[in-house]
Amino acid sequence: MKTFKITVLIAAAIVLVPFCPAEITSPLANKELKAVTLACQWQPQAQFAGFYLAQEKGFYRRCGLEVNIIHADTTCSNTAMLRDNKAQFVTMFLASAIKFNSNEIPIVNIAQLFQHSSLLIVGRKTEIKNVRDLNNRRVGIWYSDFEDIPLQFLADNTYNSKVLMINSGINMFLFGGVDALTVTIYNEFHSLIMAGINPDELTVFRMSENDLDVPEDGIYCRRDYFEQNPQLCLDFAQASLEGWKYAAQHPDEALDLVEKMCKEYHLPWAKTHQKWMLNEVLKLIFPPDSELISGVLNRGGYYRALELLRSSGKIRNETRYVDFYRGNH
Amino acid sequence: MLKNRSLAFKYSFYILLCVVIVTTAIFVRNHFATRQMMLANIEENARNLCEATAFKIDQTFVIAAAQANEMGTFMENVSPSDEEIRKLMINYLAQSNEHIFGAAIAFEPFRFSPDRKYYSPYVYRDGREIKFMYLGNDNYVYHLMDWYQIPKELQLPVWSEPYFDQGGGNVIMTTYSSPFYRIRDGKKIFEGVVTNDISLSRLQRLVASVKLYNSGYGYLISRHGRIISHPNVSLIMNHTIFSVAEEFHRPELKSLGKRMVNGEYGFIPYHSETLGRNCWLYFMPLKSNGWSLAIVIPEDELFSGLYKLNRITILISSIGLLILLIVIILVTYKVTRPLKALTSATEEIGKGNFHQRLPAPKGKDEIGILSSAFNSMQQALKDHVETLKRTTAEKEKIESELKIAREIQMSIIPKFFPPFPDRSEFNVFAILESAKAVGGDLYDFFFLDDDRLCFAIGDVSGKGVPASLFMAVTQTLLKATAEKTLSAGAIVTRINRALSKDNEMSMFVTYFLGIINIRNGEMEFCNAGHNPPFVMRLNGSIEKIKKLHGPPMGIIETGVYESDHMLLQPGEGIILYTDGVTEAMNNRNQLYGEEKLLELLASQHDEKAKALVETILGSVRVHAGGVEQSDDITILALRYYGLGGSDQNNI
Repeated sequence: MKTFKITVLIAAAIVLVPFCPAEITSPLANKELKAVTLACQWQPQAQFAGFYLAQEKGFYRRCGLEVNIIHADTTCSNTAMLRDNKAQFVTMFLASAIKFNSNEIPIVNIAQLFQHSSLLIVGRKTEIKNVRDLNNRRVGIWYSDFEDIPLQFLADNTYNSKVLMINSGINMFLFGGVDALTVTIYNEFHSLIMAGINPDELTVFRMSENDLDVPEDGIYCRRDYFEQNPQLCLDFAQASLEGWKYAAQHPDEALDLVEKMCKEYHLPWAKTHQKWMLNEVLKLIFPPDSELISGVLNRGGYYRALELLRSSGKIRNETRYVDFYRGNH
Repeated sequence: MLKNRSLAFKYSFYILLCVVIVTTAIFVRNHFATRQMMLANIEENARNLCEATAFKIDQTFVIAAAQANEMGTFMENVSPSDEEIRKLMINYLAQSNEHIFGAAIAFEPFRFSPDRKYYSPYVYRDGREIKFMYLGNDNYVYHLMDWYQIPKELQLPVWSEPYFDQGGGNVIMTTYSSPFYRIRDGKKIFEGVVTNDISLSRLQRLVASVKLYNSGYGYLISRHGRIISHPNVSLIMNHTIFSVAEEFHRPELKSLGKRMVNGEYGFIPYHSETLGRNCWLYFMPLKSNGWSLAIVIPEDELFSGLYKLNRITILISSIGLLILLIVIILVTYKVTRPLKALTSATEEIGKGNFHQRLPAPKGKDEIGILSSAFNSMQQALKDHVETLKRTTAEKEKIESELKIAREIQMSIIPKFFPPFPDRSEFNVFAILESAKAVGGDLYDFFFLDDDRLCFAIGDVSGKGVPASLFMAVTQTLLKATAEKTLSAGAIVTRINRALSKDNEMSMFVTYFLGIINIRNGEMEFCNAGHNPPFVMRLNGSIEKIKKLHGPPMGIIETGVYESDHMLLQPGEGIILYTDGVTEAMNNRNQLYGEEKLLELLASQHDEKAKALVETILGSVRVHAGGVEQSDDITILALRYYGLGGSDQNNI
């Protein structure tokens, strides 16, 4: 049933988001390709499968783009790459993007991928049965991209949780260094399963169900770059979305590419894990509810994020939706 | 199913069936007992191997942990300068075993010195060189790293989950991180951690070298199930035992994984995807860090000795069974061959060919004895048949003679009725039914002169030919003796004398003799031991003539018999009979009896002689109801009508 819904939405998305027009692509085919770099916000994984496919399948080249895909890691962040002009395009959390836009360099969203929040806080059922049990407990929260929403959740629902900032991963939770942990539904939640914890052994708090449903991954570029190359940016966004649509239709092909990337980067490869991730990510990009349009940043979601960051004092000034989101409507 | 099969087949089938059942039972019992024994033995071996390997691995970890702890203790008690720490660490690594890849002493922010947020000197190997660096900057906030944060939170030393080294090589590492503390203001304050990075290459090789039988192997998983060493290299670090369970749809691995990460011991049947075979798996935890070591032994190799033994056993059993089958067939053939010959010879004999030669008996076993017995039987049969033929011929001869005798006997009693068609004063009817071809009963009637009718009935003791001869003599004597002048008693006396003379056989005959004057109905009679006759009177009463004049004839030679007189009115009659009537028996052994006869006579008051006789005979037959007649039956009825005569036929 789920698959069917996704397929229907993908079909709708294909109609709604027209691909690079032929009259633009054909003259460019003879020209030299324009080289750009996309920095994904984390190591290669199924979270970025759509981009790999857009590249592999020639969707970027059809728009006259030669895209180099690089990945951030613990030592070099995507924002740093944008700041240093090492990448023209980056994927970024909406909350992180708003902060970066407000506090550092003006950037614009050219396509919104994850329409919902993927964040969960999980605890072992033996210790955490409901949200009140988070009081006086150590809650692990990854710093940088992922902290704002879970912190707000704790502020809204608890009074005395001990927050521990964590670099990444689930080991703190596995070893018992924290009692609860933020995880994404598409990645670490499954890592916990892979570490032998059954989903039914966990209590799960979904941010998306707690008035904190802030959209996540989107494609960003510097505002000045966008203003200089608006069409190029939109072409890039649309070709990327095309890659994601292709991923939804050909998940096995997508996984093959992810495997290739993981091996290239000497990263652990477990198909079952990446399959889970791809499935969950596709649900976030092509959500099974009709109000949200794939690829488009939802106005309400944007302002909700803005409000959260303003109230917590994370941003100095605010950008209007129309100035922040410059993708297709 | 086996009913119509030959003896040889049945023999072979049942014996072989029993042997197969017994052999199989022994085989199965043996197989499982041996298997159980071998398993126990293998478990022991696997445990020993596993423990030895685990011990070696643990040793590496224990030494590395001890070294780090030593350094931690040093840092707790001494506050060396940066330069001293640098020298100490380089020296430390240089003296350490090669598999200690690096070591760090990481301090809490601003704790080593107030101006250094990050202070984490780190020594590591780069090829053969030992290098030194400081970890930590705003992009690498080591305070938030697992290796720092977990021991800090747990306040315990921790062995990290395995990871690839930062150099991007294929070296898998694990880090031992031990927190150290200092006393500040009387309080134990967390100061930082000391770490030892261990390369797992040597341990991987150690596990890879584990071998039990030909293709048995070992594997190692971390505390949270990550596969560290496995012959299937693609699983290493990529998978946990739980993701393997999920990806390859093997839910049993999930429960195994749970047991392993829980630090359990076990010896269980296990299907190895790597070997594509059913195996046995022994697993146990490492004492130092809770990782789990498993040893996989292919079942077919484990039991190859047993299987070989089984094959040999089956082969020997099969050959044995085959030999047994052949022996049974040969023996039964040998046993049944004379039987078959005997059978066909017997069949021939059965058809009447008594001269068919029987196979000569061989030996003194059952078949030989049977054959001899058949021979004797054949001889006896032959003799018997000969005898039978002879006796049959004799019997036939006797029967034909008897037939003639019967005809002769019948010829000496009157048997044409009506005997005196021109006499209407009386009618007389008699019947004699012999129980055998010839009998000992007799009757007679004849005129002594124009008016006097002599009539008699008698029953000779015994039956058959002697009785019939005696009867013939009696009958002849009557004819010879009866004279007009003699009274009934005198006639009887004379006959008795003649019969008694030289009566060596001591035969006798009961006899009733009557002489009736048909003009006036006067009747003279003499009864020599015979059943009393009945007189049917005009008034309907039946009178029994009870008077006896002596014993049966032939017993006392000198016996003198008197006579008596009585008168029959016209319309009255006299019924004479032998004991074959009153003693006729039915199948319930009930006699016909005198009473029944009396009743019958009472109801037949007006009947003529013939009808009376036939009615009585019919009644006796009905009573007997098919039971074989045991005695001669003779009935004589005389109906007196006087000079007026009968209106009808004079029977």
